[in-house]
Amino acid sequence: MKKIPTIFMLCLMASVLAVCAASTAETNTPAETPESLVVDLDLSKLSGTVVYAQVYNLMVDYESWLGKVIKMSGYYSAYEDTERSVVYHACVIPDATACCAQGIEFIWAEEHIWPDEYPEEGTDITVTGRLAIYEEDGTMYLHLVDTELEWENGV
Amino acid sequence: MIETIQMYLQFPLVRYALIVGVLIALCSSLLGVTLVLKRFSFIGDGLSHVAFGAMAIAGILHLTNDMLFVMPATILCAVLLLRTGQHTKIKGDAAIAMISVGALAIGYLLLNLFTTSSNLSGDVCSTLFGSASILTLTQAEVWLCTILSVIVVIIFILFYNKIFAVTFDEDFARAAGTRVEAYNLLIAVVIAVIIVLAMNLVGSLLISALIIFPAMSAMRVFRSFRSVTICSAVLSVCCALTGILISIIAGTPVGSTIVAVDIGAFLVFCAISRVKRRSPGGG
Repeated sequence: MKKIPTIFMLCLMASVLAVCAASTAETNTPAETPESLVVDLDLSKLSGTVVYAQVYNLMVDYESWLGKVIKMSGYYSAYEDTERSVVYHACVIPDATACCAQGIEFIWAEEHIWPDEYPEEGTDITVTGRLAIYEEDGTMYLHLVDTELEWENGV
Repeated sequence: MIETIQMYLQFPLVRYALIVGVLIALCSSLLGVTLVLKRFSFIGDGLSHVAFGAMAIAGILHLTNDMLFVMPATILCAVLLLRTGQHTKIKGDAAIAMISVGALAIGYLLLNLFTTSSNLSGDVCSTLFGSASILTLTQAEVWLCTILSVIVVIIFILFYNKIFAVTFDEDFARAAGTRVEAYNLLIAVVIAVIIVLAMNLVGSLLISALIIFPAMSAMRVFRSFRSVTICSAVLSVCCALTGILISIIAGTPVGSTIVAVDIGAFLVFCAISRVKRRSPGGG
C-alpha cells in the first residue's frame, strides 16, 4: 500500500512529460504569402499571449532567426526622431496583463510617404518581413526588412 | 479545438510552459496539504514577496543568474518563519505579514531607486502577476525547474510518513523519536524552492492560490491525509494544464487564468461535498 503514492506520482510525471514531448514537429511550417515570400514563422494566427512570448524569445535568441521571414499581427506604432529626421515604424503586441509590450520594427518595402500612406497609430496591422539586424550609435537593433504591410481598408 | 492545441504544441515555448506548469502545480499541491493543516496557508504569499525583494536586489547587483541569490534568501526566510511559529514573541501570522509586506515594500523601493530598466512598471507587474513568464523560459530554466521539481517530489515520497507525523502532531512525533526540527527545516527548504519556481508560473501575488485551493478542494470531499494529498495533486495538475491551455488559446494572463480554474474546481468540490452530506450515508 505504501508504494501507491510513489507509483502514482511517477506515472503522473511520466505521462505529463510524454504528452508534452510528443509534439516535436518543426515550429516553422512554411506558408506561402500572395507575393510568394516563404514565411518561416507565422505568428498572425496565434493568441496575443503566445505572440508576445514568441517575440520576446525571438529578441533574446535572435541569431537563429536572422534572415528568416516572420509574419505577425499587432497594432501599428510610429516614433519620429526629429533630430535625425527618421521615423521608426513598429508592429507592437501587448501582453495579456497589458503592462508590457513587445514590438518589431519594420521597414516597408518600396518608397512610402509617412504619415499619408501609413495606417493611423493603433491600427491593427499584419507585417511580413525578413528579420535583420542593424547598428545605431553602437547598439544593435532588430527589424524586419522588405516588409509587406497589411491592414483593414489599407494595402 | 484539438487541432488548435496541436498547432500551439508545435511551439517549444508552449511545450516548456506545460511541462514546467504541471511540475510546479504538482509540487505546490503536495506541500499545500501540509501547509494548510499546519495553519501556514499564507506562508506562500509571504515567501513569494521575499523572493520578489530578493529578485530586486539581484537585479540591482546585476547578477547574471538571480536564482543564486533569490533561492538562498527565500530559504532563509522560510526557515525563520517556520521556526518563529512556536517559540518566539512574534507569532506565525504576524511574522509572515511583517516579512511579506516588508520585503515587497523594500523590493519595490530599491527597484525605484536603483533600477536601470526602461520599463519599471512592466517589470514589476510581470513579476507580481506572472504575465507571460512561463512562456519565456529558456531550455536551461526548464531543465533546472524539472530537476528541482523531481527532487521535491522524491523528497515528499521518501519522507511521506515523517511529514505526515510532523503535520498532525509535532509533540507526538517528537515523543515518538522523530526529529521534528529537522523535518520542519526540510519542509521549509522545499517550500522555498517551490515558491521560487512558482513565481514563473503565476507571479508572486498569486502563488498562495496554487498552494491553498487544490488542498482545500480535496479536503471538501476526502478525509484521509493520503487521499487528500493524491486528490490535491491530481486536481492541481489538471487545473494548471487547463489554465495554461485556456490562456494560450484565449490570450488571457496565464497566472490569473490558472487561479480562476482553481476557484472553479473549488466551487465544484464544495457542491460535491454538499451532495455527499445530503445523500443517505453521506459524511
